[in-house]
Amino acid sequence: MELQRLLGLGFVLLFAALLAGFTFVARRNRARPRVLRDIEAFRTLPTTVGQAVETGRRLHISLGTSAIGERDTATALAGLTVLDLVSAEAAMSDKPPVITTADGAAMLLAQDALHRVYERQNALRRYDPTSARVAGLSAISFGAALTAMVKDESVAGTILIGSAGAAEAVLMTEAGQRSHVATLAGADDPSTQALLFAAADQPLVGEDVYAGGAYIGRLAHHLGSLQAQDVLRIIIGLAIVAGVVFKTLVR
Amino acid sequence: MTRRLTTLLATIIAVGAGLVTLFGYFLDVPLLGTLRGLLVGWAALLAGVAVWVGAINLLLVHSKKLTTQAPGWLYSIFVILGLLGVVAVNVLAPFIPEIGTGPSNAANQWIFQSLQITLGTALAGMVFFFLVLAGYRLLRRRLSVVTVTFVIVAVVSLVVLTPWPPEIPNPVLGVGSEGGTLRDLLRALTLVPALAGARGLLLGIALGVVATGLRVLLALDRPYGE
Amino acid sequence: MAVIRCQACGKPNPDFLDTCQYCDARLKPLTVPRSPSEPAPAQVGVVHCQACGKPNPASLEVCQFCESPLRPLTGPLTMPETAGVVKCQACGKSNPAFLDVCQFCESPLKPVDLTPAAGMPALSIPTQEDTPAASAVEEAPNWLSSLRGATPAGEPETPDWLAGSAEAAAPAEDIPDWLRGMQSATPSAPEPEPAAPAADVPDWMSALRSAPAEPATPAEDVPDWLRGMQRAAPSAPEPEPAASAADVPDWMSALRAESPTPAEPSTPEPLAALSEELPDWLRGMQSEAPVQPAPETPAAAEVPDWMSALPSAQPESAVPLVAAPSIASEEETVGEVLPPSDSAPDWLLALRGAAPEPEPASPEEMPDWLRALRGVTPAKGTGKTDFLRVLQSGEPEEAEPASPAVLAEDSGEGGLTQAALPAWLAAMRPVDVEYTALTDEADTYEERVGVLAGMRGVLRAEPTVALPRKSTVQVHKLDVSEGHAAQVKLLIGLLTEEGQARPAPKMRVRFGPLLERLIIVAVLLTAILLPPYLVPGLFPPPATITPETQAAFATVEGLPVDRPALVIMDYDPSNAGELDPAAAALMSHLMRRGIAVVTVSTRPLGAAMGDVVLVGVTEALSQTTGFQYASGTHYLNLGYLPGGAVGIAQFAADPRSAILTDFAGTPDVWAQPVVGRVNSIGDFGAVVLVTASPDSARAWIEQTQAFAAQIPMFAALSAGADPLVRPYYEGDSPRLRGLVSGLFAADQYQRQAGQPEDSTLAWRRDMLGSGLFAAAILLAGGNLVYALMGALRRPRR
Repeated sequence: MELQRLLGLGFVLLFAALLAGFTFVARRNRARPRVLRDIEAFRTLPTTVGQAVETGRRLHISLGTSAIGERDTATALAGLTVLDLVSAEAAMSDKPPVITTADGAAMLLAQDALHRVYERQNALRRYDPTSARVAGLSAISFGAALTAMVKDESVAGTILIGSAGAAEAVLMTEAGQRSHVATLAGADDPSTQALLFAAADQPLVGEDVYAGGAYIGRLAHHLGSLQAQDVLRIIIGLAIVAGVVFKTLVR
Repeated sequence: MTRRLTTLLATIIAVGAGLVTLFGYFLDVPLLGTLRGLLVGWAALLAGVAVWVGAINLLLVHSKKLTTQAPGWLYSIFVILGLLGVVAVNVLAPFIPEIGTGPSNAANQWIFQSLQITLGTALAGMVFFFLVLAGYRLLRRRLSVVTVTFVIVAVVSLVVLTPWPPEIPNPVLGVGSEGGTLRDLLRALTLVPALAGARGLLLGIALGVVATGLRVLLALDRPYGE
Repeated sequence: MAVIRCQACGKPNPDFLDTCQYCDARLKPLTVPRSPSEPAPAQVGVVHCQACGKPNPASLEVCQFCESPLRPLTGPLTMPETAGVVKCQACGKSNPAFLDVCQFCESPLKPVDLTPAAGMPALSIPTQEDTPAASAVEEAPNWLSSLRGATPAGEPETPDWLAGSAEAAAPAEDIPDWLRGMQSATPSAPEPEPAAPAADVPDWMSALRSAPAEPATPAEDVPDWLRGMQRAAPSAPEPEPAASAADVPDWMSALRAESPTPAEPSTPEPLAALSEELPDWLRGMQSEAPVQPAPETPAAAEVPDWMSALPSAQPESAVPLVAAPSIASEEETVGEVLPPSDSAPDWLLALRGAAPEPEPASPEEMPDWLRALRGVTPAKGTGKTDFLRVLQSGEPEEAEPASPAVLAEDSGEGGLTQAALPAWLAAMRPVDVEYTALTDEADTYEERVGVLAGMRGVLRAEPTVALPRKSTVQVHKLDVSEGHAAQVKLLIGLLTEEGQARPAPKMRVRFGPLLERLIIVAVLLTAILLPPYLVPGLFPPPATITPETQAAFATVEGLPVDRPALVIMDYDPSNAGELDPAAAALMSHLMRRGIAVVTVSTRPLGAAMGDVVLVGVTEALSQTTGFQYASGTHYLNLGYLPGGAVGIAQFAADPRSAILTDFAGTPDVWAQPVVGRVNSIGDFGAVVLVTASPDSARAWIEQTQAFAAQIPMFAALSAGADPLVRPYYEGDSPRLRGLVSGLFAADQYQRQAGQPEDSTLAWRRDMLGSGLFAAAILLAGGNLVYALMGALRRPRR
């Protein structure tokens, strides 16, 4: 077996072991939840959702151009986690939340998540399958559709957690600025993150996109996952420093 | 009871397929490799079907908008007409010799060059204006050390990355003919931290991606149903 | 006036009413079924108040509920002689004067007169003398005492045999009527609580009264036998003599007829006629019973036989039995009907209206209880019934007190000690009321309004629910302050606004942000459009080439010509302006060297972009070189590769299974000469990435690594993707052998490859350069100004 594959497998197994262990600890320590670093976007998210519910307007949750089965599947799953947690409260509004995506498979998962929310609330008669929709099949058409949606659907707040290119991200945030709609946005592309940092009201930077489950829902396995990521980040950082030192000394 | 069995079955399929694909990539076992190839092929097939599902959903949403005359229903007419028109042209294309066959038939080419490229480049051009506008009022919306640093680095990057007109003096730094210019210094100052920060973000994103995948493999997250 | 107690709500009502004034329940049974369309029969003697709508006796001029006039005022208000309005001391509400008890709170309307009658002990015992008018109203059918010539008027339903003397406080309905007659021992006692409704007194009993105080008693309620006795009595002012006559049993009437009176001649015929109806024992008494003179001697229609046989104590004073209204008369005594005879029993003498003897002829003949009632010591074994013996005693003792002395005296003979009612207990005695036949339990009320119209047995809607009632209580003017008035006005305004449709607020167009946008757009357009026309060549073509671009050029120069090159066109039309020149330059270089070009894309629009670029490059080369490039031989567009990274992996492993047709739809794509020898990605001569997405570049690099490690790979990127893809070029084991980043690098590559300069590239260069400079100036200037303005505003706050 190649060294690279072996290292990769070891990394995955280590990560899995840390994740399972920290999840177990988090479940046992529910009375003493872990203190997390403040992320302003997640701290103000309940206010945004509450305002949407109180004013009887919609909450717009976008999964971006994330596609299931492609490289941004994990980002789509992160967006679905936030969708599941947020729509439980947003569904109480007079107008149900609208979920947009550019992929059919992601749309089906979003429909299922919304259906489960209404099922838990025993309000299936309020479930509308078209609340989860494919806004556009390409990135530019997706961005153009979001521009119109912010105004037409009486949106009170936009949450973008998923893959998004610069064009659709900027179009969406600019539409929100003009309609005075708060925008919380996070993407998995650093270039898009840089654009969203300037354009969005509440940007998510780096891996904060994948921390929604831990911050919003305080889910045990998400908290354990964050802890595992922290440990591995330290390990990787130390490995990088060690490698740089080693390479410098060798040369 | 049925719901529990369905969820259990879905979990078994998801976890099993994921583990087979993962270990099939790392381990050099022929059976795992074959299964991995099979599962990957099925996933690619499903990805193609997802495009059709998305198109049908798009049609249904805009049809409902049109029938209920929801706000913006006028634009839904163009969406539906465009979708049905392109489908109709491609269905009829084999029967019209002038158009040709395949995705590169004359009709598709005309639609692509006249409409798609035009609209796409126009929207992309708007992105430039929106970006400048967003950066222009950044400090008005959020004034902090981070945002001030952001603005400074953005301005410097724009200056150093742009081709320098010869009419504008470019001070030469250093000694000798190999001395770098001011632009070179600034480029080094901006690119290194920017690239390093981007690398760090990518590492964090990669960890988040792996963690999300592992949560699905360990059945801690079940996005396919509870 | 008699008072009828409603069977539904239990409240007292005047007896002239057919329905209860509180709950509209019928007080008297329906005699004739009435259809729903038929209007309700007007109540006789009832006037509905115009103000409150409540029924009032016709004799009233002022409503007893709201005190508004019942009739148009034609003169000063006069109180009728017979009835008026009395205000209750307890609740303050108005009541007809003929009532003794308030119909709202049932407290006495008239003070209790405890003054004892002449010769009677000092106890509150009603007499028949002091309340002639009230006696006319009283309900106690003291027919027995009236028979004896006593004045039973005003006698409440006090069981004298209980108290030893008549008391006015006992409820009328608790004392048998025939016992009430025993109260004749104290006929002159004042009537403290005469509130018992007349309905509780049997009609035939009422008819025996001599006082004309019961005008409403219908004639058909008086038994015939009593009626006959009434006729024998001397005529007395009777409000309804016809009705009263019917209440007199025949045998009574006969008795009365036989007993002559000094005031009114007695007619023995009625008594004789009644004699056949009288039982024998009573008939025998007729001859003994003394006949008391009585003012009223109604002619007795018939005298039962048993009565005719009775000796009359005072034949000349035989007073026929009279009807109930007339029984109340003090002067009237039923006992006058009977022929005066010493042998007649006292009760019969009483029936005849003869004054009972002060002492019974044979006290032993009197029943003990009767004797007790009469204040007479009980006798033992007299051979006659006690009550009759009492009757035979003649004139009922007036105001017979329940004196403890008398009782004690009596007890010595009879063995029973008669208890003396204390005054407070006597005052609690209910008023004798007339007996009214109970209405049928079946609810005959038929609803006339609402959805339940025509149904019976339903809750009445109108009296309690549907009909709004205005309170009769006057509300004094409220003292509202200005603050309260303002708050009320605000509340009214809020409530009014709730129902009004408010138009959607118009979005105010804010000119500030709009102007700001216009300025920025103007500056950028000016910077982009003007220089190519005003100052062409402001940004000259590059004189040098970057190392990564040079490496890419060198890579292409070293490629074998017998294997095709795979060009991956992973970008959308939005990036065409930046990547089309680089893609065109690379393809042109490859094809000039004779290397076949095969394009593929993981984006649907990328495949179309690849087709556009390929067609453009081949046309340009054909024009330049005169060589005709053919699809399938010199170039091929494989089209769209679905599945993203998974599709890339599959294509890398087995491209023939991943792509089945080319972009033109040719079915047997892999049979074409260009790709005839390609079975995996490693069979290509080189892999060229043209993409604006670092993720796409990463996916291709990572997924094809296992299968294309030995073939060169380089990329044409947008300037934005360069920093993230560069590590694959600058690493220790670089996967990319060269980079062409951005528009300027494409220009450099084109010049390096010796290709003719693209005419559009020059003004693209100028526009990009001036636009970037303008953006830098706007970012710096705008943020500096707002930062200064914010800093200046903060100290003010």
